[in-house]
Amino acid sequence: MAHKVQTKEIVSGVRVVSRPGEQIEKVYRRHWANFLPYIFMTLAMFIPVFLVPWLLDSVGFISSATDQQYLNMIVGSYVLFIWSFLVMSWVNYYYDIFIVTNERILDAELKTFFTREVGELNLARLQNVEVKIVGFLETLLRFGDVHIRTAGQHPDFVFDKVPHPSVIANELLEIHERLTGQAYGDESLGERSMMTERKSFREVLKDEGLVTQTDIARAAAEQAKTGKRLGEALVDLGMVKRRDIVDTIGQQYNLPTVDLTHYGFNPAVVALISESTARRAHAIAISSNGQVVTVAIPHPRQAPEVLPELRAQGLDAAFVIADSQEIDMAINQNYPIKKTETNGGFKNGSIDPADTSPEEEGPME
Amino acid sequence: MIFTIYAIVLLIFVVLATILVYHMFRYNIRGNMHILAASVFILVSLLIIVATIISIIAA
Repeated sequence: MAHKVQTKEIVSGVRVVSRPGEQIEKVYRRHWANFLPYIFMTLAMFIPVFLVPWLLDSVGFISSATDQQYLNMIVGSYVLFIWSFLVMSWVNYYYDIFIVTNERILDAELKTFFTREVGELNLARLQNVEVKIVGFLETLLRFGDVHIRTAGQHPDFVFDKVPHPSVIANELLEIHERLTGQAYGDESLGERSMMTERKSFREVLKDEGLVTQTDIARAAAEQAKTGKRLGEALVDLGMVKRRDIVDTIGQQYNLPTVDLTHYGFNPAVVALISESTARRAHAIAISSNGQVVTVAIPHPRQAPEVLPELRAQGLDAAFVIADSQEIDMAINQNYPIKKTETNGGFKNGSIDPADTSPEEEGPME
Repeated sequence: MIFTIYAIVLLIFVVLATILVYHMFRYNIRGNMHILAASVFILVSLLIIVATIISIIAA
């Protein structure tokens, strides 16, 4: 259950100032098996405690009470050192924490006693979560890595050696979906999908008869090799068409799809989203009724990147799914916006819906 | 002489232990595990120190 972040918690814990309304959803630690090597090392370090006095005694090295006193002091100091080592190892293990709030993922790692690193990831940028369980001990004790793939060229964010990685992956996706859902408003994608237990992308593809389990396995192997998304891997392998991917995502999220290849864009509508946001989010505004802007995006995860800008203009958004290549082409063709064109479609700060309705301007699937 | 050497060892240990306990409290996120851990660490350390001193005197 989520609880309000206390500023002290975050500041004290990972030296990151909490944001208003931010809540800690989950806190994960590494699996206890990661502490096992330190226990074995400590046990091994105890061997000289018994062996060395016995050896010294048997060769007659301890000849006086003073020798025995020095030996006892050295052994006592050594035991104190071993104990400190064990506690230090525990601190090192226990204080590596992964915190998931309703906005961010934080990875606080104690590198050495005076070096603490905090990695941060905006949950809205989460694109894909992968679970890797490699090794005998990992399989037996059910722990592994959770790789969080983000938008852009950033390296994966990794929760390494965490217990029940599949459960964590599901929880991350659920939190992300809730965040994405909030971006859609009350009739949100997140809420709807959680209520209906939305099918996965793979399931929809299989249900539609577009791919077989073997195809998925081949694409997954390709995905692991190239780091591409599953849909891209399937397209590259010639198993599905780009259009099928768009339709599948639309079906998966119960959103309409649109073909942008022959779409007549209104510059005034396109200008509602700045070029930088459009390029970053791979999003383009295709129509507006003055209150709600219809935005084409390749995947619902892009929605939170667009929505703040529209909300700042007092507008709401309805999202449709389109092919990412078509969107990028449309962005290249329609940006930068010419000022004279931009003003053309506005009437008292809004856009005439008759000029821009998607039914008239482009095909909706 | 022997107690002087041991006092120096303990001085180094106290510095290390202070840093260790400081970290436990400084980076605690939630729960009271840090209090338990620090208490166990200090108690066991004291036990080892007392046992060492007794063994030195007894020898």
